[in-house]
Amino acid sequence: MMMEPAQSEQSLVQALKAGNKAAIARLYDSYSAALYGIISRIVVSENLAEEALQDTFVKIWNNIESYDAGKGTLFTWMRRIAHNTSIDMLRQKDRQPSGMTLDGNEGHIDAQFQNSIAVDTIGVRHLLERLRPEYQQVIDMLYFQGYTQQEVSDELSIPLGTVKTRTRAALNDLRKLFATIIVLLLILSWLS
Amino acid sequence: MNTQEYITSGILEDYALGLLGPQETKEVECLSSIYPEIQEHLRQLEGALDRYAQAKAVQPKPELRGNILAAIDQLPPKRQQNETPIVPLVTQEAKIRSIRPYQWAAAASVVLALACLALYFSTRQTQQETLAQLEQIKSENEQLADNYQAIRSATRVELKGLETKDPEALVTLFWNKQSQEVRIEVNQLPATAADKQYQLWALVDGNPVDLGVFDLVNGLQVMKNIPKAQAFAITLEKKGGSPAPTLSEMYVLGNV
Repeated sequence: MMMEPAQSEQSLVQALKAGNKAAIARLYDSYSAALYGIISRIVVSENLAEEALQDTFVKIWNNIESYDAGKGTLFTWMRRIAHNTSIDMLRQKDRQPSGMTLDGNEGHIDAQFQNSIAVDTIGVRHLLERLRPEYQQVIDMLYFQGYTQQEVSDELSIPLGTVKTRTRAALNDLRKLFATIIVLLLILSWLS
Repeated sequence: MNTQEYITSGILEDYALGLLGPQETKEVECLSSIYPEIQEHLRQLEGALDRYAQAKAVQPKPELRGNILAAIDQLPPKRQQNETPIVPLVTQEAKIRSIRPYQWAAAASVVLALACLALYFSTRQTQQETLAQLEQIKSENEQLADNYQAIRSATRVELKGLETKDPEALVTLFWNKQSQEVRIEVNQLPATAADKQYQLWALVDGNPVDLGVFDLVNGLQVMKNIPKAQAFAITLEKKGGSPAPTLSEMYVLGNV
């Protein structure tokens, strides 16, 4: 799923801020899979992950007034809520970050994951293969599995400084990769 | 401040991944609101992470949709804002006053910018103070390691107080015969007048050799090197030391 065009995102936010309950259904259809992708990687237990998804949408609904389009996209704001809700849930239930108990669940997640690939994300998925595996690993551990940089350092037995360098390089590569695909899409749309 | 340096420092990446503490989080949000180039870089990073998350989407079970929407439907309706829009009466006075919000906004943005920079510099200062402390601890540590190395293989000589002065006086001397280094630790010596200083002597084949003056401080003090000695002694001399010891002012003495 690609980003909502700015215009429709703006009208969606307006409808949500006005308390329009039909808008939350639109929001759910557009973003639940992307948010659940984050949540289900942090909170491995399916029941808890589903609970966290519900909490996330309730928080989005309750706090939409505090969303400021000047500070970033709606999805950035929502994925931060999903991320924090998942981390809070882990801490509340006194569970370890999912990565430490991932064995055996990986297949389950990947099966779900494969099912969920929409046609228009395939381009992005291919692009991600160009990101160095050790970069993907660090981003996934930090962002999707709720590790701290220190825990990544301990788990992978690499110095903390290297974790920091990799994190920065990974995000910057990611930024450049996506900048490239946007340019390519623009060129393609001009040619067609 | 140097925004380019700030952008390359990596703090924005940490922010995008949610790895910062509350103070630094506030700092990033504050600075990106006043520096467009910081905001632009942050948006690109967040956009990259947005797309990364979207590429890794996982479809929740279909029945969850109904449950979640029903849960939100049961929430009390929100208080509607601006239900009855208030149409302001445009009067001469109102027109004059309408300039004021802009002035307020300008003043507020200056205050915000100052607050951001204050936050930024206070964080940097805390970090620099921590670094300075670390440097000091390091150098103290090196000093300790140096001292330890020097006295580990040194000959230890106890210089004991003479009955004529202070029988309780005691100075411990470490003499490394290989490196010829001499260190002393004052355990107990009477306080001196401002114009006086203690002076250390080595007795070499019956002749006193000056090893330098010292003050009463804690810890080990490095004195002059000596290749050969049969005994060490300390006398009280005029400030800066004397060419020859005043024997009547000898406080401690110890044989090797």
